[in-house]
Amino acid sequence: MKIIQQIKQQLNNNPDVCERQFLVNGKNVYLLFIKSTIDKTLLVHSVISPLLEYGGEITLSTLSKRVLRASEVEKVTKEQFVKCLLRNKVLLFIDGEKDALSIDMELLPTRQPSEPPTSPTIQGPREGFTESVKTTMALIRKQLPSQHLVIKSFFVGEMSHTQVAMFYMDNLADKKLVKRLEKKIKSINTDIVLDPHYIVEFIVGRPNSLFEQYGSTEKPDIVTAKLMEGRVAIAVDGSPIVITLPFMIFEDVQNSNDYYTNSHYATFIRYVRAFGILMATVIPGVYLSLRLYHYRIVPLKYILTISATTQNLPFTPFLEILFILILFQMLYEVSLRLPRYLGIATSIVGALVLGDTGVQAGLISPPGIIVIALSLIAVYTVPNQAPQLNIVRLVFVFLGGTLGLFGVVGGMIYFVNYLNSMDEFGVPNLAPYAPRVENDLKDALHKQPMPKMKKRPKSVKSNDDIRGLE
Amino acid sequence: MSWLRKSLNKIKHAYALYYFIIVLIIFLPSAITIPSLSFRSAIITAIGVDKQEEDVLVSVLTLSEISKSEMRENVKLLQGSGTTLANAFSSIESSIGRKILMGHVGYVVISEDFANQNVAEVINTLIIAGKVSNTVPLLMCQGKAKDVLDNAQKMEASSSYNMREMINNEFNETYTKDISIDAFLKGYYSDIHISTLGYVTLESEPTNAIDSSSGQDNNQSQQSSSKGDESNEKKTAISYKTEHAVFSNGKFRYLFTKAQMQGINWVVENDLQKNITIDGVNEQGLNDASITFTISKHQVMPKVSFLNGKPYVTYEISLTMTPVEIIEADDSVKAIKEITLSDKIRQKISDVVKSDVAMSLGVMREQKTDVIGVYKLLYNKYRPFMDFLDTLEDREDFLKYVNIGVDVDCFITTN
Amino acid sequence: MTQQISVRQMACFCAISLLALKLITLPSLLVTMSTSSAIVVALIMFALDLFLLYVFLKIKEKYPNLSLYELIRKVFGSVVAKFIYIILFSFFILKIIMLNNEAIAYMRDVVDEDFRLIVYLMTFLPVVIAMVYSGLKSTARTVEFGFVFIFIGLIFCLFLSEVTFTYGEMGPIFKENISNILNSCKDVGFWFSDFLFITIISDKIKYKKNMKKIVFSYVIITLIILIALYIIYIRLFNVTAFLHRSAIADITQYNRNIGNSGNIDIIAILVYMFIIFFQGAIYFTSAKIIFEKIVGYENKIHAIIFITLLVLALQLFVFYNLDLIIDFVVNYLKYFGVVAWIIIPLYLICLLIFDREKNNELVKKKSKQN
Repeated sequence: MKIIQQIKQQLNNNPDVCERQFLVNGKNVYLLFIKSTIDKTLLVHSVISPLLEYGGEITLSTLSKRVLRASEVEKVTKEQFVKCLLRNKVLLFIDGEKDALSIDMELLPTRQPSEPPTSPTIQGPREGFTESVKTTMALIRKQLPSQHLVIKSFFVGEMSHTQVAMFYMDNLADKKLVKRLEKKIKSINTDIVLDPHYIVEFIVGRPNSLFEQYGSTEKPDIVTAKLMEGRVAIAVDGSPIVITLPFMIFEDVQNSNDYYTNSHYATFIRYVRAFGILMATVIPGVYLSLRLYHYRIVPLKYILTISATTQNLPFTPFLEILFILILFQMLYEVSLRLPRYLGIATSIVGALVLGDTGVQAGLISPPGIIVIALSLIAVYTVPNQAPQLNIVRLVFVFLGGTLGLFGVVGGMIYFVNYLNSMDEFGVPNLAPYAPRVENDLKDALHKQPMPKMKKRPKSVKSNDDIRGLE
Repeated sequence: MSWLRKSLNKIKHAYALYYFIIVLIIFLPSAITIPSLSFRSAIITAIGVDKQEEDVLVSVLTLSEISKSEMRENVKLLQGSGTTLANAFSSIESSIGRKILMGHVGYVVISEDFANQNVAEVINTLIIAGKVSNTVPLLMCQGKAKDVLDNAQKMEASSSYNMREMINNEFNETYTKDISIDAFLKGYYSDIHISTLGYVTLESEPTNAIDSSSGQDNNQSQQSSSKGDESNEKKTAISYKTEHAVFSNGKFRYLFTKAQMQGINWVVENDLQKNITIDGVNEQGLNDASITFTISKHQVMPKVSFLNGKPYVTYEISLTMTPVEIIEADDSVKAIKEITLSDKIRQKISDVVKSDVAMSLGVMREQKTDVIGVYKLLYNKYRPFMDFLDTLEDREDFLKYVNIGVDVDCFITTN
Repeated sequence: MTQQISVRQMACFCAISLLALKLITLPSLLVTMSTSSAIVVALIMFALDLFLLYVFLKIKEKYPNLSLYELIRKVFGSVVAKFIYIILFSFFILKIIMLNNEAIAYMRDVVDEDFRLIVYLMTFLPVVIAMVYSGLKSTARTVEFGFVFIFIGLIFCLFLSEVTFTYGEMGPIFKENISNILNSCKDVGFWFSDFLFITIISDKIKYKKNMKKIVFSYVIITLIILIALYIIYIRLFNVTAFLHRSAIADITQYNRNIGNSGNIDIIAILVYMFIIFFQGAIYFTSAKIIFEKIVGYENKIHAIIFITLLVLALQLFVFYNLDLIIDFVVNYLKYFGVVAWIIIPLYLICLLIFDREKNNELVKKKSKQN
């Protein structure tokens, strides 16, 4: 058949593009598929054997209605042939007919839902998304079997034609936001989309911004909870990460664990996390400014301890802190990238050889190491914010070293103001604290028990304020 | 202008970043190269001021670098002299090649001969130019301030005893009155220009002196000595007494002895531990016994009134106390039993307090120095007090014409 | 699109304004001027400030969509309005300079003897400009966010100072006679009257029914803390006040029990640093809005550049230390402050009493435009 040859040619005569020809009731029937992406057993059982046994009239509609034992069969025209093939369908041609049938037989290598390594839970659901957007849909549906759940599907990427799914609750989500997001997703002009992070920078208002403007998670329970607050979730085929919009920075201080534990403990641990953010960013800068400029503020005992341990260092305080910071950051990066069995080796080299020997050799000082290590560890109280906090920390080191404590305070105010100026989707970034939203304070740093959270967060615009029946 | 607009537009989204880079360009080179402040400068923990002929001799204790294993304060004594205090400090600075930082000064000692001139000027220099904290204790010493610091340094080198900590922590348990710089200045700038300083002496002591590290008890002198036998010099110890040096117009006038201080202790509320002993108790089964009470709570409520233009000040003292020692006439020590405060005992206690106060008042009236703040009390009744002062020939002598009375009220608690 | 701020945010602005210029030199100045009657002077001025605040809020209630400029223009025309605004502009610029000088003196006194002017300017100006550039809304949010820390810090400062109240040490409160007290009121007027900014941004505040309640609750709580700090200050440093020009730090430093283990006055230091930036942003924003009204068009970049250059020039060449500006303010500004203190409030009170009908039209017009 000529068209088949043409399609094959369009697909560069790749070896996994297969063609199969039958003679059914005196007519030639062709199957065309990419063999690496379909379920062959299913193809034999539900397409080939019924065809071979069939002895009636051969048209596309009769085959689709009477013969093919597949769940999704669709009549497609010439223009759609290649697209269907690339979306892992089997095409069925009949001699003399212009159109074809597209039969869903997709079978792609996927993994089973398992606990995501980025957000483990102690007590609570352990399921995580997988790379398949279909699994994502399934998991969200499983958690949220509601007539109000809307899933919209888009195909983005000139080359990849990646499926992007947008989830929201039609009774809760802000219609304007949904429309705007839809418009933005449709207007994305790019070659390939591998992960939601590829498209999110097209969606948010300030792609250049230092801080994240979207929430990301791998867990269906979190996505479901956020959908129920009127947010919109976006999943991309090929990545287990689901993005939620709009976003407030305090979402990252919260953790799904908080909802599966005593609310007093949740409150306590949230304050610890918030304090962690402060420590992670500011401590090295403050330490440096105190050592360089403000001896008056430091108690005499600390001056003693610090000057005793730093007196023979070859580096100036600024260089020392910078050196330790870069050293630790490198170690961190290495330990992430190295194969797991080499990880232990790096930690030995890092902790013992570099740290301990560095101190003994008089190259770096113990207070410096403590300060930087403290700051690096504190970052991971809020792992989602870790990348930007690392940069902010560096900025504060420079500010503390050059402008002193006044510079550090100025920097803090600048960053708070910067976060406040980002309210792209009409949701203030630092809500419910700035501006203060009384209702949302029930689940901000302080978490109240579930029965008291009768209303949905007001910071996120939603059409229905009350949780449950009124 | 168009090029400016274009380039502004280019950096529009990253003003902050470009500004940050400018800050780095300006400040980073110097920031990277300067060593930490504690190495650029000498941090001083104590200052001593002496008079040396016409010059001022300043001794300071600076933190010196120490090995990692010893985290103790290791101080070094430095000296410098000059015509003024500022000159003396700069001579020290030039001798060590570092800037002096006075933000951590723990105490200031001035010598008695230096105190014969106006001390307030020196103190002002210290706090305005040197940024010495106002809460730092100010002490006057017998002999040379230099020797006091020298001894303090030796003590710190040889034991865990630390004069700076000791004075800072316990000076309101050692001295009746606030001895901070601020208290001194307040007295100096007040209308009567009277202020008091803490007083320390250097005493020679027997060779096998005890190392004292607690410093809790204050009726005895705090003693400590250098343990090391490397030096054969005469051993001396710093001794704090509850004595106060009284200054008038910033100049040293006289010393309130420990016994004279007793009366002041009764009318000034403070944290000092006090005992009171009464003799000749012949009741409740005791025979000519003397009873010692420890005061656990001491409250003073001064009352001021004017009658016919004459001021009357009454200190209503309320004492809550516990008997701790009973000695009978035959010197036998009795087990402490419950004692009720009869009228007689009350009267005796009251007499003891009154006689103490009278003695102190006598000294104050004689020296025309109001140490206990009678002026301040009367000053609150501003108009009648001013009228009263106008009737006096010598305003400084006002204390003589003020009727001061004491009312004592006692309560007893048993532990 | 007008950027509107909430009433709570305005309340935070008011509370910060109440604190900014009053925590450093003012107590010292008051006590030096009128010794133990200082607290009376302070109380009179605070009462006056509260009264002005009440008038301004009433005006906001009556004309929710008009700022001072439109209110003056309504009766006297735009020339007079511009003239008044030029005076107000210089008033706010001088306030920025005063804030700068106080902050620098404070930093040198407490944090770092060698604190350099360039470090101050290169930190203060960009941060404040960034806040003004990002708009009133985000500035208001930032202030709201930081206010909690300032408030907690202030309470902490209060407890850090040795609070042993004995009336005796306050000295006789009514020692000075009335004319002396009024004189010193006049001299220190510049440090007060900070609530004037409300009238300038009043068209940018969302109207809410219980506005007065919210604003007054914030202001009065802050005022109570402030008065407590003043009482402690006067009690501690009555005759030596001239030596204690950084009130808030000196108060916390006075706690001897912690003096040995280190200076916990870092809390006071941080609190005041936050206040510096926030108050700077409030003054700068007010100056920017005034500038835009004077020149007649809205361009924040022009306004910011002009104000920055003016502040820099005044700071570097005219008022380069605290004593210079204090002298100027005490000696000359009292005549100048008449506008802020008497003319504007009186005019507003007259509007409140006599203007009955005309305003509604204007309000409607304005809201239609929006």
